[in-house]
Amino acid sequence: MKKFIVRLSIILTSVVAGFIIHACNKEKLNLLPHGPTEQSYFLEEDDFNRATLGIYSKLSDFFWWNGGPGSSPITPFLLPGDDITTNQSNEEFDLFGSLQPSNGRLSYLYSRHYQLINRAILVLEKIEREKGIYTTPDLKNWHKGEALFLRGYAYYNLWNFFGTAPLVTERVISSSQFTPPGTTGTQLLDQAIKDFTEAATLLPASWNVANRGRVTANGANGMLGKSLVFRASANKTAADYTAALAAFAKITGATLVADIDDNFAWNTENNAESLFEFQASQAFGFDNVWLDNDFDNAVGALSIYWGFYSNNGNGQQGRSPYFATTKLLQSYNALDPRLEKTMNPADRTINKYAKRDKLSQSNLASINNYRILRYADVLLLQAEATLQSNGSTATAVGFINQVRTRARAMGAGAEPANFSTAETNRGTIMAWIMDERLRELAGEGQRWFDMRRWHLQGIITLSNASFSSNQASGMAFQVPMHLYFPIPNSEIDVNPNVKQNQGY
Amino acid sequence: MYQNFPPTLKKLRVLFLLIFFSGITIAISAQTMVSGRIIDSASGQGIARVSVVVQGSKTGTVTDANGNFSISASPTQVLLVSNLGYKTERIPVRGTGPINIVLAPQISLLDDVVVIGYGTRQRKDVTGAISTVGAKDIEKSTSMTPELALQGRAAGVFVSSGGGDPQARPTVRIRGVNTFGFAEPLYVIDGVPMFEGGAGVTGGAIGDIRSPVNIFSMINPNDIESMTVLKDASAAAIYGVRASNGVILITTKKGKAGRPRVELTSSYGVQNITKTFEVLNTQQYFDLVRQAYAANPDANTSFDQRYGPRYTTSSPLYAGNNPTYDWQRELLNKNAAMHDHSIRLSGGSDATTYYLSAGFSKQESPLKANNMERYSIAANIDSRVSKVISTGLTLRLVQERALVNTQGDLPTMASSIPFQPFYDPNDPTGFAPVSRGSFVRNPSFDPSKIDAGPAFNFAPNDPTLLWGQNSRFNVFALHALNDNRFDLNRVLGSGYVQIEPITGLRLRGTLGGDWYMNLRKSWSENDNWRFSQTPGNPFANQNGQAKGTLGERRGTTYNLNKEVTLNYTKTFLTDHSIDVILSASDQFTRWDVSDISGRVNFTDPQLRNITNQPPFTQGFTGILQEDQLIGYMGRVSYKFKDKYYLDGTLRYDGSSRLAPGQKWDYFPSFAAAWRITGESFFPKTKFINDIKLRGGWGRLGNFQSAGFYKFLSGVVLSADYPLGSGNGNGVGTQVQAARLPDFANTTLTWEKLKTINVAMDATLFNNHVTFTAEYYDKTTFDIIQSVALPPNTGIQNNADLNVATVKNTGVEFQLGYNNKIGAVNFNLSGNFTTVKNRVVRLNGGTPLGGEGGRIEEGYPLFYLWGYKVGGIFQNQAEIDAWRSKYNDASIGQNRTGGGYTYRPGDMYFQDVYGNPRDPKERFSNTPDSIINANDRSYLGKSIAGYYYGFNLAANTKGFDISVFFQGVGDIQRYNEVRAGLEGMGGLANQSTTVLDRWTPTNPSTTIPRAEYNGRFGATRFSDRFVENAGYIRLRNLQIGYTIPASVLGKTGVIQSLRVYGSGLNLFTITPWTGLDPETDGVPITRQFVFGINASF
Repeated sequence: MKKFIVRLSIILTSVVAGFIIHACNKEKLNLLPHGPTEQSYFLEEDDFNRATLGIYSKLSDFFWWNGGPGSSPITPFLLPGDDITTNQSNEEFDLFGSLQPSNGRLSYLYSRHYQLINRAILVLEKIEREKGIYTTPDLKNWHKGEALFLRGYAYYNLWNFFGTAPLVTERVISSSQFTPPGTTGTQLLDQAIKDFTEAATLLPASWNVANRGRVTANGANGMLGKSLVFRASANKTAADYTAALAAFAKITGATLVADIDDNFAWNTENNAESLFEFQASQAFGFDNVWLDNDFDNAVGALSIYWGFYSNNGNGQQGRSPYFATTKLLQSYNALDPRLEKTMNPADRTINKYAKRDKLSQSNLASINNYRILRYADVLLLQAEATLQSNGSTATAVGFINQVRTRARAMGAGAEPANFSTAETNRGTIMAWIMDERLRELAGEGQRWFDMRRWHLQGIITLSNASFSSNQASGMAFQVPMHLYFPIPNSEIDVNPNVKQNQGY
Repeated sequence: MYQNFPPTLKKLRVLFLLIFFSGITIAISAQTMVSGRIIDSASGQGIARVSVVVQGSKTGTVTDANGNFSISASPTQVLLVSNLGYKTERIPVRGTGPINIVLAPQISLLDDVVVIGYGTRQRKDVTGAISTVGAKDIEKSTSMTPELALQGRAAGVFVSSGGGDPQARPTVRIRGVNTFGFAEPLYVIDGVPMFEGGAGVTGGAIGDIRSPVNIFSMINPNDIESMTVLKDASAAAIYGVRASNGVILITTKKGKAGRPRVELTSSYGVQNITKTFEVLNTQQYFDLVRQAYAANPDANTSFDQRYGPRYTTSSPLYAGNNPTYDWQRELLNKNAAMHDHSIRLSGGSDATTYYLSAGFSKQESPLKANNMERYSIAANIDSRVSKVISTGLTLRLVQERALVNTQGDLPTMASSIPFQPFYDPNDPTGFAPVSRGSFVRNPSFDPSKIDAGPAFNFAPNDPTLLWGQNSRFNVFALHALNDNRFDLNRVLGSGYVQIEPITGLRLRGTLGGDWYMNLRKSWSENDNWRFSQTPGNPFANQNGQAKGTLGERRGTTYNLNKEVTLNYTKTFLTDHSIDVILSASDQFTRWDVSDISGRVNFTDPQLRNITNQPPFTQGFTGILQEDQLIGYMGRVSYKFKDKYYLDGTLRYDGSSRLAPGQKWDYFPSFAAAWRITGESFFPKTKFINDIKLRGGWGRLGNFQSAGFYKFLSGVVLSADYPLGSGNGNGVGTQVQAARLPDFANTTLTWEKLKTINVAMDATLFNNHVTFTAEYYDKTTFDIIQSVALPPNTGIQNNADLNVATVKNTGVEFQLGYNNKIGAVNFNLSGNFTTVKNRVVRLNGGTPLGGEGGRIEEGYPLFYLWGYKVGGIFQNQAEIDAWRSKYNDASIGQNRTGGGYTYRPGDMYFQDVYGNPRDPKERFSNTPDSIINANDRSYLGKSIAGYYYGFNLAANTKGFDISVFFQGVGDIQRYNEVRAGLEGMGGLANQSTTVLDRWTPTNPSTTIPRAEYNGRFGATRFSDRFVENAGYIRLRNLQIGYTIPASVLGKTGVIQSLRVYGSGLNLFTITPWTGLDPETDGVPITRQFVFGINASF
């Protein structure tokens, strides 16, 4: 018995000792995640392609329903100008009074723009460092061009909304980079111009059908020219107009489509007039408009919300729709075919995007692409750049007339008539351009950006502007305060180096 | 308690030791039979089930129902007589005649054996800060989960019940709140550290997969012998990197040597919610919304146009004359039943003891469509195989089922529109629909595609809401059409082998494991859409024949703990005792999930299975969390003459969570104690019986505050972008994209805690009073915060950074009083804890968190931060006076009088601070006449400043009564529900308090006038809705009667029998205006319970 115990003790002791040795194996602490990491990614072309599409996917966040009409980030694009108004009371993007740094929609838009920028910077860094992974000719340049373009678009928006937000062009890898300073002047726009300029040299003229919707050299040149016109407005620099004209001149093959409505219809997306669109769609499982694009592949929002125009009952949840201002209604000649393409003149409800819309499975958001830049916009910008750079007035008017010609061709033929190319009063022509932009681009989320830059330029004044709001008595627009939307509290509260915009 | 044995017994040396439980050592002897009887000093009656052991031997027995025993012992030996609640007696055998032993109820707790980590100790020898709750108090709790038994019973332990929902997780915080990260204590069940996948997370995907069911409810409280809370570092350092939030040691019941004993406990009770929100009836509701809209109509839109036919007086659909439906009362499950039955069998021989138990428990929620039931089996066996080897095994099997289908809580019901009915006899389901619509076939439906599209679409202009814009989903229909339940199965156990080659040296290997699977089955019927206010197309993503969707999700948790301990105890030179423990441990935990959902063509529950119908079946699997911990620990305890004590602990821990180079850290602690009454100079008096001073210092860690792999940057493939649309194709092809949302922090280190503990334990007034006072000072540093990085970084996921320091200080008092007056035994006990919590340092001094839980230097964690109400304008003169000085920028006002124009009845807010005057300031302390975000200030704290519990008990002649109060004070909460029910800005129903709203004829000073979309911003986060959430609650009143042994003796079977009735939460005194200061969602219930405890 004693022998047995001794033996058993030896066995047990060795088991225990074995266990201690086992426990000592510190290698066991090196667990790794069961999903891909940065170190194990970017090993093949397709990884780069996915990361590049990941930048595009952020665009969903700019335009979706976001769980409720009161939180949809599309509103700051559509509402602030004088083309669209609403009966919704306390709507700060119509009335401005209660537009505060705590505003949820702005805060959301702000952070999502920087997320897009972050994704673009990461792709640019990875492309910079890759060696020999790309084998498809030109693909590396195209991806780089896409990343640059999308970052430029984000900075273009940030400048137009906030003006002074921080400029980030390096990947954030250390906590010392968390609190960059704000910017001044047109620094954000400068970056956009820089990015568009480089992108234009890298991007292809077109993509194959399967990749339709990705940005092209035309898109980059278009946004480059547009940004240059914007900077010219803000800084009153003639050289930018000249540069803009040079960029626009590089656009090839774009034409005005016969029916302007094809620019707002779900089944004529990415057409000949289109230079860049947000590709709205629906997830194959379900377009879950309460969950963002990043949530999942099968469900999540790939859609856009046009319910403010279509007054879709489910989506709107009783909120007032957005409709045309009386100013917009009155800006059209009654025979201008664009009038009814834009709105129902009887009640000013919007037809653009709403009439030839298609809802996703969610039955409240839509798959109808948002046209970020189309050729008619470029033509009017060319008119403006030509005019402002002391170019030929006849050439400038000619650009406007291209737009009016297409509009006229949609109807019986008389209106809108061409403007006289004999007109030489630059002020008059500028007024034509401004009015034409209102009529042509109404409701497309361009108006506020235009008005803001023209005010900065001194061509118009927004002091005490009422923007033709349907709730004129509630209008509380102040200059210069509201020219710059407030930097959101989410940034101000944690970044002492960013200064809040004046007045907030 | 570790004893050294006299040399005469060396031959019969100790063979068996129950380290975790009794610490009683037994030696062998065989002499003559000695018999006797053991009587209670108070009642004079025999005491059943008293353990009688020959000291230093393995011979032991227990008394019968009348207190009689017989045992073989030699005249030179000593009988050790012990019973829970009585003083242990050591009676020399001397002769062979009967021995009558009188046991006095235990007054001094000093001889109690308490569980400490890796061992037990007599209470008088404890040097660290610990609290213990025993089986007697645990049994009084009716909760299915053991943590609630700690509420009010243990000093320094704050427990907030999760309310009346049986699945709810109580919140347990020990001595304040250390961190804004992972703040849950470590639970150790019979030596196995528990792990719960997703612990501490309630939101997001992890919180969802973790499920709402509290996993600790899978431990049957009836099986628990004691719960010990290790509160300071000197007590908890043995658990090192896991211990900074405190450690709760759960020790389950074990068998005792003696003849088999059967215990039966059975109780039945009912519970009810006693209060609901008072809300407006239909008439009052219509008056309110009309008035509110009239105050601020949308331009060119009338009330009728704005809200539609249900709100239009002239419409045939007008709802203003409908009856009022009480949504809350309809949701109540009146007299919700609570069952708890368990049977336990225990006993053993000299060599082997066993314990078996089986339990069934079921509780219905006080709200409909929710319940939980548990079947549990536990088995424990401890055996001395030979003189040097002993072994033991504990195993528990649990099945728990929960129905979680309530779909709403009382605040949701309270805000439902009062005219919307729940039932409709004309609807085939019997429930009143919420939406209506018809369908048309979708011509582009193509099931051969991944995106098949819906087989049917809603007809144009459908669906429509039947009860207007604020239609509320019909929760009662969803009870019938949906089914959401959880099945949890668990195997939890541990086994050990111990060898003791020489006396006092024990080498033990322990293997502990826990495996549980949580299966969620969620069913939702297609018809659902008709009862939803956001009706989705039920035919989306299915072939058009399906009747509903079934989802099955399994979460599996795997926890394997291996440990070796070497323990040596020795007393030398009579007065010097040492106790040394060395340990190595290795724990691996994993949590994985599989999820599948698909369409089902039948509604019959019998036929609900997910079949493979591509593309309509979806699923995924994955490992969600994995942890590897390796730890080495050493503890040395030295004691001189029960007078001086020294303890030192060092733990070295490594974990897989951090970056290479950061994985390992040391956690040391020291403690010392001095029994001042043990000194010869200390006068022996009747008033001061025992005084011990003790103090400790130590460092602990919190590995769970670090997220997983935060030192790596992950790639997530869940972003998508569609390409290729055009030429008639509007959808395009969805392409999977990649995103890298992380900030990889390779310098992340453990969050650590330093504690200082100083205490005095005293026994006073002839052992009638026990008193403990403790002071604690805890500093958490390198706090890991999951920081939402500034938006400019574009980094989507929160990053883990070591950013902050938080300090908790406070005192704890425990007082006990025992006495006997006449035939009545009295027992009073109480405890009181204070907490002062301060954030000392934050990254860059930058505050974190929002208004409901602000984190800022110099303030308590999670304080309430918002505006302060100035008042309500009663007339234009007041407005003019105010406006001449101030402007409220947050509602668009400016200095020149622009922006919103006040009207009488509007609420205004105070100008507390000013805008920053230079870039270094976040705000200026000087008010600037502008009301804006900079005027938000401290409104209250969410961590209780003090909490307490006290218990009064008495017994006489078989009757016993105990009254237990528990309370919390110096705490404020934001009454979110009231904020919703008094906002008056929309169509939701409101509290009856708004009947007192300001009108020209009712110049209210507390509730402003009603205005649709409230332009003056009265619902902003402000002190208007901050309330004192302190309370004192009569937690338990129990009256019991124990049938005298003389009566039971005649049955010959039943040894003891006690019947009792309890009332729980009979009343609560609180200034809180909601349903309950702990939670308003499913508030705590009033319960009446009747039960029986019997042993055979």
